[in-house]
Amino acid sequence: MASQKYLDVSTCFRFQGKSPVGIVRTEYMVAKYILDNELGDFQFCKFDTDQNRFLNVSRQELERVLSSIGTQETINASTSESCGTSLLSIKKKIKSRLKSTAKQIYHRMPPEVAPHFKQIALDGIDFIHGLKDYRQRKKQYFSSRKITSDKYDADWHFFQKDDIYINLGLMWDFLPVKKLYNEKKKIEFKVVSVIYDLIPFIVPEYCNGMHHQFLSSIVDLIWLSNDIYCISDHTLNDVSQFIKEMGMPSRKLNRIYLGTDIVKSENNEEIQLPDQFKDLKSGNFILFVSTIEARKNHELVYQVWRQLYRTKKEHLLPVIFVGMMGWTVGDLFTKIQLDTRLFPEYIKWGHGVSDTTLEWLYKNCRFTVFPSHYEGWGLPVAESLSHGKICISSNAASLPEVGTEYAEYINPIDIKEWVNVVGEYMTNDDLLKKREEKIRCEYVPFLWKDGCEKFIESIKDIE
Amino acid sequence: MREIKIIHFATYPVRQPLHGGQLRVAAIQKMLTNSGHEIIHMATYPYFIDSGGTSNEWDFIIPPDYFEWAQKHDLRPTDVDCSEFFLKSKVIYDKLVSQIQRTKPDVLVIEQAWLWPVIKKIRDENSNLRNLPLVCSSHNIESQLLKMVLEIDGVAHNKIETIYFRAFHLERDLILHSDVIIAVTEEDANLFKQIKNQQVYICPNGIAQSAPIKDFATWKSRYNNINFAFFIGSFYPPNSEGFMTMVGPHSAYLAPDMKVVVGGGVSNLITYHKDYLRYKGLIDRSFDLLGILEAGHLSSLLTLAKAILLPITHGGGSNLKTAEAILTEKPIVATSKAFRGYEKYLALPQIFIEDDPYCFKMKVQELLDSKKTITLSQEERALIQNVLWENTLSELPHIIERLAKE
Repeated sequence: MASQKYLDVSTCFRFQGKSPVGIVRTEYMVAKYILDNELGDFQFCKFDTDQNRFLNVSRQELERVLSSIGTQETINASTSESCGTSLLSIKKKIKSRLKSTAKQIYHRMPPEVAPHFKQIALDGIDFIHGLKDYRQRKKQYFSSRKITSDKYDADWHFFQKDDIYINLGLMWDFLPVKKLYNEKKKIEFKVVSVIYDLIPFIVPEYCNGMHHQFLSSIVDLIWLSNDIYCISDHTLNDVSQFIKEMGMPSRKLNRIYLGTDIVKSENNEEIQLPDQFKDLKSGNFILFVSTIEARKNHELVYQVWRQLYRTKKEHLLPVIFVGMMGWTVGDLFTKIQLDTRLFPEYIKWGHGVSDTTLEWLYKNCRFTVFPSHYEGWGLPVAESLSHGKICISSNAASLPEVGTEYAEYINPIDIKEWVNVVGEYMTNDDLLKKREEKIRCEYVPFLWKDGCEKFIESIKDIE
Repeated sequence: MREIKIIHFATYPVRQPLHGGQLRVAAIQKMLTNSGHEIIHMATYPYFIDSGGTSNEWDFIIPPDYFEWAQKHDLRPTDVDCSEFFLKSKVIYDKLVSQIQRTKPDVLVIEQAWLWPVIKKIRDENSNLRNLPLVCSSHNIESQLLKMVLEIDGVAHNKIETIYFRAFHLERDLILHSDVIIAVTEEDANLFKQIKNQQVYICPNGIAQSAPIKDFATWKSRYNNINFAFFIGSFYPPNSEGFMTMVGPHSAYLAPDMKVVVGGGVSNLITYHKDYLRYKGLIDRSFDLLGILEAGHLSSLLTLAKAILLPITHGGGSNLKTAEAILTEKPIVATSKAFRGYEKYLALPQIFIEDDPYCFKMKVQELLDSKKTITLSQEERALIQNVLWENTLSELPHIIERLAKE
């Protein structure tokens, strides 16, 4: 039998009804490309964690799943295996119900309370993880009953020799990589994967408590893969250096090119903005789209606005933070809320913003900022340019690759320079127009279609 | 040969020997007892140390109040200053003297020097004991080792120097007064000869036959489809330091089907190492820190292991674990320091010496990935049997007998 190419679409299954951002979008776009172009030499599979095995996914089933991504409608996987009433699935359902209830409460909260709620919830989760860790350790050290057998004993026999298994998704979330590695060693199929970044290794100070587990999964992933794709040249260099430094065998490293094209709404009717954005006027606010976490450097933006409040108050425009609340920013948000000179008039925060609202914000902002300390790629820079808006971006890691000559770059810790440049773009209309004109005339977003085509072509080389 | 009565002075009990020092002392005593001599084991140790059974009048246990007092006054009651426990209390000192007098020993053996100040005083004050043959049984150059341990612990430089000089003078004084010195390695013996060039013998460290395997099937199923290398070490800072330098601080170089299994008190110590938090995820990934293991479980793991690791980077003397590893006939990845005292085994085909941390790791990776087995010749297997205590200590009874006769 000829060798097969399998694209794992487990991540798409897990993100039904949610927005396809980042990693999910990559898997989604490649899967969609294969379906749209009717590439018959590709099969689809997913890993079922309840049954601990791979399952085939039909094209019809995948089409249904992909169409549900980004909509509120959640399509049931409709296969008997996902409807089981095992203890594991009950546990999962309870966990998911608790999660969605917490999310509902969070989104109904006023912005000034929500960060505290999230921090308390995260602290609680950390505490539970810590407790689990302690119990595990205690068991390991003090009990001779610690000897347990590997629960993944049975072989899968899903892949055949020379098959290519492609996983572009959140593999570490669900896949028993060690078992897959053993199976791969026995059967000699090939594995293709993507590394999106090495942030937990390079800047662990900006990660939450899960970075240890993540790093361990990345190492297993490198061992497992024959070919590794990276989403930027910078990440590719990071991975190459990491493999060398850690004493791992070398791997073939390639680039996967993410699209920067966005689907713009044709709807020109007036939209209903959420209450906190009602008084925003076109061209009179700055946008910062990003998860709110220490790595993204909201602290710098706050400090810049403090300075500008002192020196250029008459020209100061509000900055809008759009994004979910992440970790280790509780203190910053308390500080911002206590700074009533700036909050809520000059610093605003929107969470749970719809795609339509986000598009309105992009179209109507004066410019965007993105002072991140580290990125594997940097989608907000590309999105800003795609909307014809200049982004004042950090010069760290991969960001200059994303914005090339169309963005403005500053060291993410050089507050003085940020104050100068942000202040200049706030007041200098000619400069802004000149930069926007350049973007409008010259900037060509990289299309997902081309990125997917390039990726699919390169898979042929692996064969 | 008449029976010789020996009092053996040490700073730990040996009823249930666990760490290297205890194992050596227990083996020495077994060898001398089997040769028809009587051994009395005198031990002084703090209250929190397990006596390993019912203690007797020769167990001089340091009580909590004295221990705390000593620590408060910057004394080290478990090594350099352990004699102070006797010298500061007339009652305890007199009890020890009266027990020694009552026993009428033929030979005094001091293990690891620390009790020399009190024995010296007893000899000086009791004319009948003054000329008793004295044996210094050394495991290490203790002053150097102590200095190194204090450095690993991050003790202030001036404090280290003070402690080191006290230990150095104590050790030197014992050597000068001893009739016979027993060293474990040629390197140590040469150093002792520089102080006093007479009667220095080498009795290398060894190992007893392994305990019968226990729960083998369970361990086998736990490590099903996993190729693992095994490291065993006690709760002793140089062990964790050596492990983290040569094997760690992370496990990224190990494939997902490889592990390094760690047994003994060093497992806990690794979690206190300065690099542990940084690499926690990559340590937990493939280093199984099992803690203290029963002898039978240890035998099972040694049987299942694909290789044995001896990442010794610090310390003098010779390592008992090296003898244990050689006896298994398994491939060994070791530093040259780990083979101090075992130089004659270096030519064995299953022994790989790597002193560079990167090369050490790569050798571990290579051995765990390899499908080849190393076959030993009859001569090589016979040579390996020399690591048993009965062979390494075979000269000791004769040395003591000659000394008692003189």
